[in-house]
Amino acid sequence: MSCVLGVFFAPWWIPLIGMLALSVRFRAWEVPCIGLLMDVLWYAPGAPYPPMCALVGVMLVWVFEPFRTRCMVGY
Amino acid sequence: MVVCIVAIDHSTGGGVGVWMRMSEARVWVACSGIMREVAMSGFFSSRRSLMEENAALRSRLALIQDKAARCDALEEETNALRAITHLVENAHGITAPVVSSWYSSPYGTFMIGAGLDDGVMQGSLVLSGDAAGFVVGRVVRADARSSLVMETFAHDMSFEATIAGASVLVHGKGGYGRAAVPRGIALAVGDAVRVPAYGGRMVGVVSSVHVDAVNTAQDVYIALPSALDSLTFVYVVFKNR
Repeated sequence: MSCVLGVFFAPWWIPLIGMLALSVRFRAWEVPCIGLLMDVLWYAPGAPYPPMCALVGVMLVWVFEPFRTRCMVGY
Repeated sequence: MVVCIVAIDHSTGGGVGVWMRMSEARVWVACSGIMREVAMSGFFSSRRSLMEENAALRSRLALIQDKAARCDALEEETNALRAITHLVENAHGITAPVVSSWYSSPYGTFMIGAGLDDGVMQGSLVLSGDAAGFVVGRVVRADARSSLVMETFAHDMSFEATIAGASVLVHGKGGYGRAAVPRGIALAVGDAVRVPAYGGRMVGVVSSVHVDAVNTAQDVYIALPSALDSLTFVYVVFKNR
């Protein structure tokens, strides 16, 4: 919830930290959704780069999967 | 004894009475002052009446503080709008409030409270509300009642600009711009940076110049004179249709 509110009101790196923390602990579907929300809200059409936040969310969940499997107790 | 006192008073022509009255007056003034101070101290006021008085005063104080805060907010808004009025004389457009945080977007964008219904179109220039009217961004998406604006110095944005008569390519770095200017061109902090594509309008001023003995160009850093987050209103210039 704080990540979602941070998308609207906080600096962009605060939801990013929340996404990182969530993906380290859980295989959270919310992480890519938060990234998608940031893209839908803030991405400018015609920008010289593609929307990255949703992609970063997917990558975070995928990259931390081995860590969660091996290190997280009760995962 | 009474007869003696009367006899003495009669024999002295009323001196005893005078002395008595003077003493009484002094004692009366002193005692009345003391009584007045005791009464004003509220020592003898009832606890209930004091509590009621406190509650009434507290609510009145809150009301006055609320009115003062509203006055301060209105004054600040009026000052911000007054700074924009001069821009109306030079360009046809509309004043719009900034309706998002300047730092929430990872793409260097922000939202304003004016859209297609207000005449804002994609590509419209967004000017700051200060005296110079710097171009702070450009509308990249216009909805019905709001618009998304890309900041001039957003990351990976590049545009042609002129500094001290020299045409340079400015690269946005997120809040400020950077350009490489040939060393032969004399630059000073505070020089205006204008963009021909924006009708010659200013996008910022030179904030610092770094000269390296090895490079043939000098690094020029460009920024707005005032902080972006201090802007509450911006002016959107209508595009010529």
